[in-house]
Amino acid sequence: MFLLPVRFFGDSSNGIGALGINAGDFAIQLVSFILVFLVLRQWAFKPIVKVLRDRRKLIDEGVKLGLDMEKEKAELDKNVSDKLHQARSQADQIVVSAEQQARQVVQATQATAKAKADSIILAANERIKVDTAKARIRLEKDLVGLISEATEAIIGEKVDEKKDAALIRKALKGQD
Amino acid sequence: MKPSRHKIARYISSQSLDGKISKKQIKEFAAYLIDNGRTNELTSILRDVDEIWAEHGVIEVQTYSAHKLSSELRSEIKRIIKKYYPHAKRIEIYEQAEPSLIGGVRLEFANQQLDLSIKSELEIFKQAAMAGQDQT
Repeated sequence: MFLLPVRFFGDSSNGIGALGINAGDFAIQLVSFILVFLVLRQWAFKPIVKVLRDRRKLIDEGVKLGLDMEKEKAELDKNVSDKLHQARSQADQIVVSAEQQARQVVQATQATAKAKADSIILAANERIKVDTAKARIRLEKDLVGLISEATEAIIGEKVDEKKDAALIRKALKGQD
Repeated sequence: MKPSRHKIARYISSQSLDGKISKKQIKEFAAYLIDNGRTNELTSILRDVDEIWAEHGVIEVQTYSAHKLSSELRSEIKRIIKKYYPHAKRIEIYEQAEPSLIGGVRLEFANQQLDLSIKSELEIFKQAAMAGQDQT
């Protein structure tokens, strides 16, 4: 079928025929080519191009999505890093604050304990003083009692009837 | 109505001063005190009687001493009592031994007491010493 136009163009010895190209064949082939091209363009190239465009679009979207995701990941990493840093700072502050509070509590407790211990020691000292004073007074009273008893015993032995009479006489004279 | 303590003392004094009081009266008096539950007033009544006797010039002196008193000391005691009661007509001394006094004499008469014993002096010293300690 494709050979028919070549025959229709006639002799190949003049025109483009001199170049060894048969004009008829050429025309037929050109027409055939155009027809094939049109057919291919209509049913093959367009869907292929469409598919390729769609794919490219899809790839572009994927790449864009990937870039976006990478960007988001970077932002997320930065956020996470910031948050971690912030959390670490807060944790450090909390630890420092807790240490300070604990130190203050310990100091306050130590001060209270010291004050209480001082108070107990003071009270004990006072009690010891009072007890000592009481014991001293009791001892002195006992001592006076003992001295008195001893004196009684000694005088009792020394005072005979004669001395007693002299004593009474003297005491009665003192009433004058 | 019960007679007062002073009334009873006056009655006993009037009876005893004249020397008319009998043993029977004394027993009746004791029975009266027991019946009326007034035995606890006996000491006070006798003290009142002593006082009334003293007012009438009769002084009864109870002496307490570690040793027996000589007649000289008894006279001395009467002399001292005479100073307290210049109008005393009669002074009777009743002696009682009390070795715990150590020495000296204690006189009790007409609701009064004159303690001149060593025991008393020692007691005063003891009280003074203890009072001094209490003040410090």
